[in-house]
Amino acid sequence: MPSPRSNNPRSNNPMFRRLVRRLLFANRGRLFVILLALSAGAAVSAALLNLQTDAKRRINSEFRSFGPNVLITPNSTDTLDEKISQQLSVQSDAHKVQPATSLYTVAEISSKLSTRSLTVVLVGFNAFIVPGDSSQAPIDSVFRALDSLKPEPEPFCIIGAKVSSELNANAPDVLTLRSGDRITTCRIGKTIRTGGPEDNQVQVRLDVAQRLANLPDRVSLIELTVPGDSEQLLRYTNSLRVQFPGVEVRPLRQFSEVQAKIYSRISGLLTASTALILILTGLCVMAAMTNIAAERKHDVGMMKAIGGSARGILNLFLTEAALLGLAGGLIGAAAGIALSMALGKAVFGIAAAPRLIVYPISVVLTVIVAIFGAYPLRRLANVRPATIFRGDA
Amino acid sequence: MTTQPLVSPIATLAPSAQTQPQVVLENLVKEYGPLRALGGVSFNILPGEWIALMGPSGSGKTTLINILGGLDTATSGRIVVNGQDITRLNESELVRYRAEKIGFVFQQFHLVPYLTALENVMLAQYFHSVTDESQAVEALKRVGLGDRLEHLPANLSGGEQQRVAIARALINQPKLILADEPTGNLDEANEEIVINIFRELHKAGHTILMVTHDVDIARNASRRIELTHGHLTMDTTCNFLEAPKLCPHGKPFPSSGCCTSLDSKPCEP
Repeated sequence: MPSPRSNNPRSNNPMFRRLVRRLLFANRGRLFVILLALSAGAAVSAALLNLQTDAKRRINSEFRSFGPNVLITPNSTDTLDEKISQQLSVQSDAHKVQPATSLYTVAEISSKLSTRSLTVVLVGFNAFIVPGDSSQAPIDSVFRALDSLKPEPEPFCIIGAKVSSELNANAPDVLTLRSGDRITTCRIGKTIRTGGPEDNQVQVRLDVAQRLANLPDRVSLIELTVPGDSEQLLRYTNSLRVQFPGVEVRPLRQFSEVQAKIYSRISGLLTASTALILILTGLCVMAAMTNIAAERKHDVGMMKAIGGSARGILNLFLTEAALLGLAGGLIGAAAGIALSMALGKAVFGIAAAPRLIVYPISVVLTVIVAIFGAYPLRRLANVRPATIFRGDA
Repeated sequence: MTTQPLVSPIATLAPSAQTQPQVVLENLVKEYGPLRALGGVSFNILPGEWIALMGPSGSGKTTLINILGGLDTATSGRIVVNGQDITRLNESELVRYRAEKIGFVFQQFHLVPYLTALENVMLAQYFHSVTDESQAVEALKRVGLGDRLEHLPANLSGGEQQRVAIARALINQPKLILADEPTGNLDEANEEIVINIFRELHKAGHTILMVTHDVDIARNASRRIELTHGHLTMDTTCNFLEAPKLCPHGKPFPSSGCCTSLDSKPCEP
């Protein structure tokens, strides 16, 4: 008989791999079923996790289109220095905020076609637009209209429906704007009806309003559209208060809170669904593993009889389960991310962006589920060879 | 062959008792609830002995072999193997004991169905220390299975499977080979092959404790022990195959080939 072997644990690795391979392929039909269950679980959970991750961005994007959520107004003076807006504009690249400045003043307007004149609120707007960034598109139709204005001798203006009606002036009539001894003109580009204060206002470019009010480089209001949840918004506004102590920074919380609530609900629903899917997958794997455990009871008894430790045998089975989880996770998560893109298109109208972080998370979760599903195999560690050979177990 | 009750066989084994016993069983008791499978069994096993453990079904043979092999625990009593009291070993020590000192051969072969013949042998190496494929191949060649290395158990005959099991039992050079009816599932031809292997092992000095119902197989053993209802009812030292020696009590073996270890009267063949 052969001589005793040296005790070198490293040289057992090839046999370990060989045994695990044999265990995996002992029953190809069952291997396929377990892999299918794990892959399906991984696919659905990856899809839901990807949707969950993407939902936050998507909701932020959707809510941003509703308008600004931070207002910066003067604290003690009537107006603000426009440079604040420029400083925010510099920040805007990093924080993805959209500052829009406006100056409110009172002006007397008249039309060349009418003898009447009206005293109205004149609003000068200057929407900040980052070129090439579609996510920072103009906030509303007013901005879009202003953005399209071309510098001409007579700048365009937008008048409210009531002003238009009282002056009997419409596009492309020319209005005369007067404030004190300063006079300028503008050509009506559009009449708007919002049902709000805009109906009684005349809106012009910011520089036109500043010249007319004799308030160069001053603004009444800076509006920001800040992405993120209410906590992020609060952090941002606090940082603004520190940076600009002389101004009042007010977050418009309603959007952020609604946004957070909707995200929280969607996120909770997706998390619960993911957990449910993973539990169901684990139960499927467990059912299959229960059969395997029954089949392997004799093998485990024999392995113990010839000197196998419970831990050594269990290591083989858990490695087998982990490899199944890994394979199922790798296949399923890839399919799941593709699935989430399709689901995202169905839900939001735009395919969900694949998030790389979701892939490893889904794979790890699937491996954990597979090891959890291998619980019946863990119970084999308690098998007593004599009991098995007697046929009592 | 007459059946003689035994109390302390080691005390009467005059010439060979000079050798230190490899195994000492003292008053071994095993109870399964109200059922007493072993009722205080005591005997010794000398190195190189081939003992045929006989007795009717339910007499406690398999229980005894399981306890001796560390697969089961005794309710009371003591088993000393190579100076080590195995009744005091914890689970992990029993695992090492089984891996290093015992070679099991079962009636049902108990091969892992999804491992090849070679891998089944290497499995014992794996649990013992490290695998050495060339040694496993050599072990299978010795039992005549050099051309069946990559066969799965399902593709081997019963005799071949049992030879794989024997190779597996021997690969770690155990001190003691425990065989529970190793020919019970074999036809005559395969039975002869397997018994020949055991003969060779015995000649090579291996200690064998073999459970068998077959008297013809038991004749190959150097000693027979019979259990009845968990009690030792016969212990005879026989010498059918080897050159005549002295009986344990010092007299020559009778023509019958057997002598009891209790008294000087030769047992009936």
